Amino acid sequence: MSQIPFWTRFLGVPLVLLLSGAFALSRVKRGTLKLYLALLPTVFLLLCFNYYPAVKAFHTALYRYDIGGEATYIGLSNFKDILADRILHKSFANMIKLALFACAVSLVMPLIGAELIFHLKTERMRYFFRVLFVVPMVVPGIAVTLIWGNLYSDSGLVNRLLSAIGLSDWTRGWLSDPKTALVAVMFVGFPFVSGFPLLIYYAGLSNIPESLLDAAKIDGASAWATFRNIHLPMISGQFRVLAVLAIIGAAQGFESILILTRGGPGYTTMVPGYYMYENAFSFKKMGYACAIGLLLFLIMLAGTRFTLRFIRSTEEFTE
Amino acid sequence: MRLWRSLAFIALVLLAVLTFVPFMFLLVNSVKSIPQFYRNFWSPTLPVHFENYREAWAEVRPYIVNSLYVTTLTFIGVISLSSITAFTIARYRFPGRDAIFTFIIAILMVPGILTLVPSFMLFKDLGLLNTYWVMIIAYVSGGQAFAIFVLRTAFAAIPSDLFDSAQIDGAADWQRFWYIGIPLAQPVIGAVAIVNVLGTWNSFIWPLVTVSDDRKSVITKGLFTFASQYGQRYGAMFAGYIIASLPLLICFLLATRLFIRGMTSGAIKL
Repeated sequence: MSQIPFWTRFLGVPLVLLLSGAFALSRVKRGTLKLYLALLPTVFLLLCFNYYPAVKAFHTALYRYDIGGEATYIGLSNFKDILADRILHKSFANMIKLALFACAVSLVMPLIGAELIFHLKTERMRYFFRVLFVVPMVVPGIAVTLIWGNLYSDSGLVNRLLSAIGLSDWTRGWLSDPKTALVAVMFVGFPFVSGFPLLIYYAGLSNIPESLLDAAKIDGASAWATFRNIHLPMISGQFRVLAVLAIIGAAQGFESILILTRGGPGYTTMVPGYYMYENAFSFKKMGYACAIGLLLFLIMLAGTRFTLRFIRSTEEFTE
Repeated sequence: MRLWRSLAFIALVLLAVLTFVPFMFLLVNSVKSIPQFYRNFWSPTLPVHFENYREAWAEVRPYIVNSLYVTTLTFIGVISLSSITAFTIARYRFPGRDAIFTFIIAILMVPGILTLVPSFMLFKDLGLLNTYWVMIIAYVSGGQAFAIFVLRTAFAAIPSDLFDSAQIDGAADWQRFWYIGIPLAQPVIGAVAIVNVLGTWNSFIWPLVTVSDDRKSVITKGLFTFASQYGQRYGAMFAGYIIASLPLLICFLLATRLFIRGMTSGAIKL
């Protein structure tokens, strides 16, 4: 490392801000200064702790940089390694499976829940069930995942249930059997109804204008026709949000993999996010990890754009 | 019609039951001793072993204290920074305002996975690993963007007349912010605060990566360690999970309506 302490690099940021501020001030009326001062802390923090790391990711991806060693510029070598990395191929395949499954269940199941609640007779009941389905959100995600790990264990609830109904042949260590590990990870959180998506759908359903629903009723539309022709088009905005959130979550989430399987057995449950984590914090290969992170970012960007375009077109179609 | 209604109700109750199976399992087994757990897996058993909770509490208390500390400071930081910034952007016109706002909310498009490694290196270079600050600074800086996004709309929705008349009466900028802006945006601020507290309390990967010192660890990492160390002592382990959920559960019971609104505030439509 050089003699100059690292933090001095940050002096540049307020300096640039001050200079540009002074420049702007020479041109605008007085009294605006305190407005810029009010925004300064926010802008300063974002520049240092959010934008700087984001830019740094692009930079580091071009280096071989093992923690404790020197950083060497290697151009696009990290990306060549990515193309040749078998484990990464496997993990991307897993990610796609997880993403498709997550997308399907997080779009469908909470909608069923929200519709069922929406059709309840009294507001009291509707409120009660909404509250009920939000309660699980206060349990830390890690605790929920750990409980599921326990349910799947050799003498856990799933196996005991199977034995109890006479299917003892099916019992296994669900997370340690290469054949079932990925599916077991997918089903963590079953029946996928609770929390955030349900509330989003419910908010969407309650925002449908009364007049539309009344008109459908007068025309004698069946429940299915009302759902198909009024509810679905009116909540397409919510679909977009949830689809995007599911894709982002599946592309970057690896908490449950880290807690339950650590990518194993073999690499049957390895996902790119966890592989990146391993490369950075177990193998100390920061450059390679940043390259994987960058690739994931681009995939998420593409996935999000594709979803938004795709769902908008169906929206126009149904209208 | 009647039949359909009953069927729908049964389906809803079934979904609720399935959702709560893991949590009921947790609750029932948190008061069992080890032999009770193996012998009577399905049913609640007597005597009830509340000492599991005492044991778990001794174990998780330091982590809970750390989590409370980090969550509180993050909450104060995010709410004060974001309400000042959001108010300034919503209620004043000045050159560069829209550019600054775009600059702030554009960070919402940068995912955590991209910045995890470089952020770690940054805080390592700053010598902040294994401190509370590595969590607080990162959460405040990252959390304010969404809060500003939501609060700006709330502040902009307050009728201008209120501010104009206050100005005519000689109220300074800070007085208009503090006596008009804050009280009128208070429900939204509450909702934003809840989303923020929920996120901070449950964050796991960042503390796992940046804080290896057990004395500074927060509850999520504490539970993880607890689970790997306790092995067969399920009762105490499950009691620990429940204790870890209590602060947020209390928060939830105190402000249910705010909580439900908070979950759906901001961008619920794209």
